[in-house]
Amino acid sequence: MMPKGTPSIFDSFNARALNPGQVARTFVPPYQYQKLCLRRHSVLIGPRGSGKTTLLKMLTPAALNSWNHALAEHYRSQVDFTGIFIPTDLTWREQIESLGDGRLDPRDLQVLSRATVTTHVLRSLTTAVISRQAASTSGVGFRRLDLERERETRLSRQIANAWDLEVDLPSFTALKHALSLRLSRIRQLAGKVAELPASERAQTLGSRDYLFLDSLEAAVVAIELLDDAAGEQDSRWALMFDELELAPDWLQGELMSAMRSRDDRLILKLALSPYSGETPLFKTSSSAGPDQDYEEIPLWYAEKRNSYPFCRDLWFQMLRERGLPTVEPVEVLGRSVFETTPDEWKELGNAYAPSGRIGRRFKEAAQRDASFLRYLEVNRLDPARLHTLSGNERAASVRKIAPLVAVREFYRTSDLDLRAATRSRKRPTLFAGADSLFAISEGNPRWFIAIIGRLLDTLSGVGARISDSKQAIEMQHAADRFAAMLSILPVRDRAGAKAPKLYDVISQIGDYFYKRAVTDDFSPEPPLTFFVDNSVGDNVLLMLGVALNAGAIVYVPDGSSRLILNDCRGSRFRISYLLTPIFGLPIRLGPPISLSSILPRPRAGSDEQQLRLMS
Amino acid sequence: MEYPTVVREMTPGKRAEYDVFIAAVGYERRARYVVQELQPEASRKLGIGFEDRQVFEYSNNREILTRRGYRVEVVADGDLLEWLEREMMKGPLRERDRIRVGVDISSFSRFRIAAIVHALRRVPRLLHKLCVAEFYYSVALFSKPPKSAGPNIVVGPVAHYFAGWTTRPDLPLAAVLGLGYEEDKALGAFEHVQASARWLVRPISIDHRFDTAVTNANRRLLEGTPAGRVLGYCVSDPLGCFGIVESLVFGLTRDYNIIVLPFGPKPFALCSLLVACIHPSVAVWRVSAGGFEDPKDQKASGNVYGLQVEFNYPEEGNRGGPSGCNGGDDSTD
Repeated sequence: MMPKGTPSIFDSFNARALNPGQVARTFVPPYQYQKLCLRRHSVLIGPRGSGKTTLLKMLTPAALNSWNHALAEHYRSQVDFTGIFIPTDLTWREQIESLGDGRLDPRDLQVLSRATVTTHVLRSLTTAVISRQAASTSGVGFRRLDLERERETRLSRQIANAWDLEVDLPSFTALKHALSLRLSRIRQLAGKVAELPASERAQTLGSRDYLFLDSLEAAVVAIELLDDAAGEQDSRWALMFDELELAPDWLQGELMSAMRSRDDRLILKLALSPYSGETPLFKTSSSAGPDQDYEEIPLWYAEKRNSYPFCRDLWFQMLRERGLPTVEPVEVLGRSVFETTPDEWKELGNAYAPSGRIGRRFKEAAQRDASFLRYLEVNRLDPARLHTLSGNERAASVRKIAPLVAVREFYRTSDLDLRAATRSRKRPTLFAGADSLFAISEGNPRWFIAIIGRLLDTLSGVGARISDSKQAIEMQHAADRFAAMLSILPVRDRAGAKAPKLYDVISQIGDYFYKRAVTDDFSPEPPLTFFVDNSVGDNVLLMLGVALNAGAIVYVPDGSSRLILNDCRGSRFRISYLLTPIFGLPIRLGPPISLSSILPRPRAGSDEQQLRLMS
Repeated sequence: MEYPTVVREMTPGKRAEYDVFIAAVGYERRARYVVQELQPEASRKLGIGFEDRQVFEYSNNREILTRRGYRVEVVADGDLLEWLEREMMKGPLRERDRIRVGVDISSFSRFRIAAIVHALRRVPRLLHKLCVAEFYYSVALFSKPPKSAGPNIVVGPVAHYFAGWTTRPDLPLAAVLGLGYEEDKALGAFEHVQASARWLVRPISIDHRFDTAVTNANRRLLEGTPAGRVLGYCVSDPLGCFGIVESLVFGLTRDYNIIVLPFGPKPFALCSLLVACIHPSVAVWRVSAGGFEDPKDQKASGNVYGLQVEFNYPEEGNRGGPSGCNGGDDSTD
């Protein structure tokens, strides 16, 4: 059973459900937050659970106003704009598309869709203004807005006029309620229009000016009025759209264009998943480009080490939340077998000595694994004399293969007993240890909190260590649940044909890597990443996009690659380390191999599944 | 639009009289059970056939319904709503102020149940008459759950008219999941919609094999859900099921936008749709393999349960309330 208080990796006890004040209470800033705080357009990119919503919410006045953290003041001084958080979700997108019960023609639907989004944007702006007002009486007064009652009334009335709203007793709260009412009316109107003869529809819609408000222009008008009333000149406001890939297509296109041409009082902060699929993002020539128009901020870590500082910060935060003393993760979780510590390097009797951790492992592996012995002989490496190598030699020839040898030693029993490409169900104690757990969490806060939280819940007391076995159980548990979720994650089939399951494709890739790394003859650099070549079929391409957004595979861009993909072809990926306990792979980037050489090729007499995989 | 809907208990009996009776001409044997055993009487008896998967008992069902006076028509999903509305408009009626309709939902897909409910709730506006509908559900005999369901392809509102609507898009999303016995299907749907909170509603059957299968199929989801958020309903008590879903939704609407994912027995899907008639903000979704599930010939257990629903004129609305176990599960969409 799940320990009390800690969510599982699925539990969306995520920032969506929390108000900004609640988000601020436990927020740990990753390095990306610093970039996001800058006064420029940003596109925040990451798979689910990577913290996009949290980061955007942490730019709202309500969150910054209540944030209590050693670095809070520093960040507050960086944020010189008012963040307006604009959430989106899948159901809302479907609701907009279903306006008029699906009986509207595309033009009328777009008019009503725009009006809905505009109303939502303006309502979010109003919410931000209300929270700035609230900052006058609570928190640290960040971006507080002090308006006398009379001035608020006058200002609200002016904004209501500009937004074509009717409010009896003008106030910001009244504006917000009037906008909620407008959303309700838009739906009623859609239903009514759908019942009308086609000839009457345009007139019915055309007679309502509010349907044609432009969201950004209407926001700017209100901002100008607010600035004048508050005596603020040249203020900046950030429209922060969460889950942008779920927004209507037209909005995505317009926002991308807006990053080039719109009013410089508005900053755009857009959050989206790495795979944008067939949405119009970044596709038009008028769309903005990274660097010159906006900054792309990735929230994943292709290189595991890059996530460690954030994981450490999260670790200490979680200890604090539980009232536990501040202890280094390695003291509680132990050292990962994949790491060699400075101590092991310094001492003569170090890990590489015959009796040391790595020296012993190499010796045992050479006895059980003939191909490894051959490799050692060819490279003139004597397991009994590794410690006599110079630091550079060791780094070049021993240190880089040590993790691989550890995995092979763990999963292989003997050459004779190997069953080709068959995964072991051994409890993955090999992956215990602080750095391994950090890597397996992928620096994804939702996963990290779930796995580490469950482990900390079992901590027996001060000075206690969590056993490798317990760690392995939790890792396996998280991996199994993630795999189960991937098995049933919906994938819309482009061709209308029966497609294979997403997890089946991931499994084939994982099994292939396992075979190359563990059961095949020893190779110092077996492939552990894949690139998507042109032979890969549409169904698989579609699935890779879903897998990428779910975090099942991780994009490994090279220096010049775009970080947002609308086609996975030509790009390099690895399997999420979260799945490592299932597939039994070394936690490291390996060289790439083409995906089509991993997935089975259709051939005469091949079974249906194989054919479908490549279709 | 809010559709005033009153829901009442109904005990299915023999030869009940209707203006219209609607049955599915499906591929499972269960599809003809109500027609054969309860022999509902109606001025117009409609058998709705499917375009695809005319396998197993489809021909027999078609023949049996035809023999019993049903006009059997194959109607495509996309044409169903209009077809139903046309059929409702045809008179004459037994009573001047109301139309009485019977529907056997046992072998209809969730989409078709949604189309039928939508058509019925629109009747008062189209005909200017009250619509009294009685829904029948014939419980299937237990059969083992599929070892491996197909990939989930169709995911979205069960139909446009049940997509729901929020006036507060900033509220978190809560998922109400009716559980079925397909492994981890509800878990996948929950993760896909990324709801912030979940409530599970599990069926309770007279045949405990169903309950065990539901528990096994949803083990991972149940493990991580606080006990207070797991509710049960008796398959033999559709009105009780309605009461549970309605109360739950009513309690959640203040703090959440709500999506209902009706896996499991069809009375839960029906009740979810009826709740959405009363609470139009609620979205009712379906997740399925889009017709790629392997068809299964479900046999009737002999237990039939019912629910009476009164769809009123928009200005005369009021609410139905809950009221009082047996077994069944429908894995088809």
